[in-house]
This record gives sequence, C-alpha cells and structure tokens, in this order.
Amino acid sequence: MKDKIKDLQTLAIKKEKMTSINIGSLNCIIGNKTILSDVNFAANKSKIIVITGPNGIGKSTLLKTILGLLPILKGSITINDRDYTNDPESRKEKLNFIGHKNALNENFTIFENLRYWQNFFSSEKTDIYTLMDFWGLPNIKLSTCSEGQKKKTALARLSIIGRHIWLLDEPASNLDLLGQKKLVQIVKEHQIKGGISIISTHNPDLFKSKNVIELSNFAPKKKIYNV
Amino acid sequence: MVLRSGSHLIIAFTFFFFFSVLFALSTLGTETLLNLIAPSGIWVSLLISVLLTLNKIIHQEYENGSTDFYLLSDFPLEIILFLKTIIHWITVSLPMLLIMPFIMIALQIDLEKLLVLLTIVLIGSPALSFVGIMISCLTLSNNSSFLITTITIPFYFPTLLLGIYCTNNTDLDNMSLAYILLGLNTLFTITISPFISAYAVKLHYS
Repeated sequence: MKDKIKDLQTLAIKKEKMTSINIGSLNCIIGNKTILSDVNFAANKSKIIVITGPNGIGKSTLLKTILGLLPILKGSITINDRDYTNDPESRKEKLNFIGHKNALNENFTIFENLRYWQNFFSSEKTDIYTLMDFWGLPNIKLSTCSEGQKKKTALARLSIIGRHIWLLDEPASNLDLLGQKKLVQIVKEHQIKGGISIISTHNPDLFKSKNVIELSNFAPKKKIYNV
Repeated sequence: MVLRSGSHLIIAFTFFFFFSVLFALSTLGTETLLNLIAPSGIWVSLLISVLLTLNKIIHQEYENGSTDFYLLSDFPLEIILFLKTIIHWITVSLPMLLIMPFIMIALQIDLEKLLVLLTIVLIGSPALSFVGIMISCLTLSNNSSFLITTITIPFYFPTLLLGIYCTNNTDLDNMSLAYILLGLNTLFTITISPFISAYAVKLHYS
C-alpha cells in the first residue's frame, strides 16, 4: 500500500515536472492575412509569460492560435514534449482560457453560472461559495452585475476548470484595484502549484514577471504610403 | 435552466397557439374548408414557431463565448450539439404537442384521429429542431434572422410535405410508405445534423 502511494506521488511529481509549452516559429493568421510571424517562446513549469504590445498587434490572435480557435499554417506548438500542432482538439483539452467574452449566461445567477461550468467540465468539487467569497461576488443575477463583477466570475471559473496551462487575454480589464490584486494572487498560486500562465496585458508590471514578450517584434513590417 | 433563459420560448408557444386559432377562425367555421386546411395549419404554425426560437440557441452562446469553452472541453462537440437539439425539441415542440388536442378541437378535427395525429407530429417534429440547429450552426458568422429563415425553410419542405400528407391521411395503414418516409426523414436528420453542425462550428473557427 505504501509503495503504491509512493508510486502515485512520484507519478504526480513527474507529471507536474513535465508541464511545459513550446511555441516554435509560429505564424498567426486571420483569413489570409498574417498578423504575427515567427513567434518563439518556451515555458516550463511555474512560469508566467507576459505578452504585451499595442492594440491590434495580435495578442488575442496569438492566444487563440495557441488555444486552437484559429488555424496554424506555419510553426509548431509542443505541450509536455508532445507535438500538438496538427491536433487542436487534444491541445484544447490541456489549456484553460479567459477571453474578451466572459462565456456567462445573463439569465443565471453568478452561482448558477459557476455551477454550470463546474458540472460541464466535471471538475473537482471546488466550493463555489468559497470562490465567490474570495472574489467578493454576491449571488445575484448576472444581468444586474457590473462588467467588473462579470470579469471576476469568469476569473473564478479558471480555478474551477483547473488545468496546468492558463491563457489569459487581458484578464485585468474592468477589474478594480482589489480585483487586480486577487488576480495576481491566483496567478501566483497557480505558479506555486507548477502551472504556467501566458498573459496578454497592457500592464506588464502587474504580474512582476521577468518573461515579457513584446509582440511588435513579431509583426510583419507594414508598408508606408506617402500621401 | 433553458426554460429560465428564454422569453423566446413563451413567444413561440403563444405564437403557435394564436396562429392555429386564427387559422381556424379565418375559415369562418366552414367545416369542409377547415377539414382540408387544418393539417397544413398545424404544421405551418409549428414550423414558424420553431423558426422563431432558432436564432437564440446557438448564436447566443457563440456571442457570449460559451462555444469557445465547449470546444475546450473533453466532450465531443457532436454530443453537445445533439443534446442541445434534444433540449430544444423538449422545450419548444413538446409543449406545443401538449396543447395540440385543444388546437385540434378549434380546427374541428375528428377526436377519434387525435392519437394518430399526435403520433405523426411526434414523429415528424424532431426533424424541425435538428434541421434548424444545423442551419443555425452553418450561419454562425451571421446573426441575421432573415438569413436563417430563408435558408432553413427549403430544408423543412420534406418534413412539411410528408407531415401534411400523413396528417391528411390518418386512415392509412400503420406501415404505409408515407409514415415510414416521415420516420426515416426524422431519423436521417437526427443522424446527420450533429455531425454537420459540429463540422460547421469547427469550420467557422478555422
């Protein structure tokens, strides 16, 4: 019995050690237009990668491409040393995501929304009320919530779904100062657990990460027209 | 949860009721005329009521970002869409089936035929939901009700024509070709709809 437990612990540690993501010479496209070219970065466990750049440079496009919501024409995505470039279906199952859209039903209360996603992902039974307390969320109908409260609800879902690699697209938007602190706290807790966070933001200092990627360096050169 | 999320269900239900009653009233009680057009009235009002709800099911979830998370989950999208269509049928068509006996009285349909008529609508109506959801997925990039309606109606023709034919001929043998074709039509749409719908959603993302 003791051996079995030890084996399971070793397996869990091994699994955690394996958490890594490698983006190699990735081109991001929308339609026929190349938005970013030759994006390269790698992250092992407990890393926070901050992606920054001006509006419209392709931060969301990059995250959606990694997530598998946009196609890859060139480049590779390796997760835990396995190439998932041509397997977006399996790649999606490894990742957790926060986008511009909150993916919440306006007719349900905050609790119902979180319970819906908890049941849908059959995730571990995190106590939803504890999460709501953490984020300071009242149990009211979502249609009566502010944009900040909706964002906090969407962020609470991150902890419900779990998974090792988080892709966060401007997670601090609409959040008040306390909300931003809580966001940093959950990202740090995820880091301590060995998780990886890839965060696109206009405020790179918020996460105090050494790994900041400026996306302007990967944007194709624009033609300058003389008028 | 679905029931709570939509006033569109109430609109569809109310529309079905009043459309059918107005259909009966429009004949000014002429029994011969009513007998001729009553089955068409039931099917057309059912069809339009289902059409009214289509724009709300898939498009709403696409717009609020829920579809992104369906794609992230371990569940195959085909199963998710299949279940969503079943729920759509249960919440939209089934309540209409329940009030159909009262509608049939208004349309002066012989009550002896009630059970047969209900069975025919029960067999045919799932096709309306499955075709509707499929078209809804195919038009994901365009949230226009007009577009969904104009594309969906031609795909409803087989169900509509077979349904009206079967409803008009309730004295047919249980295993007659028309009944079998109606059943096969529903079975065919149930089989292909989740796959085409899921393919359309994935294609939209790629």
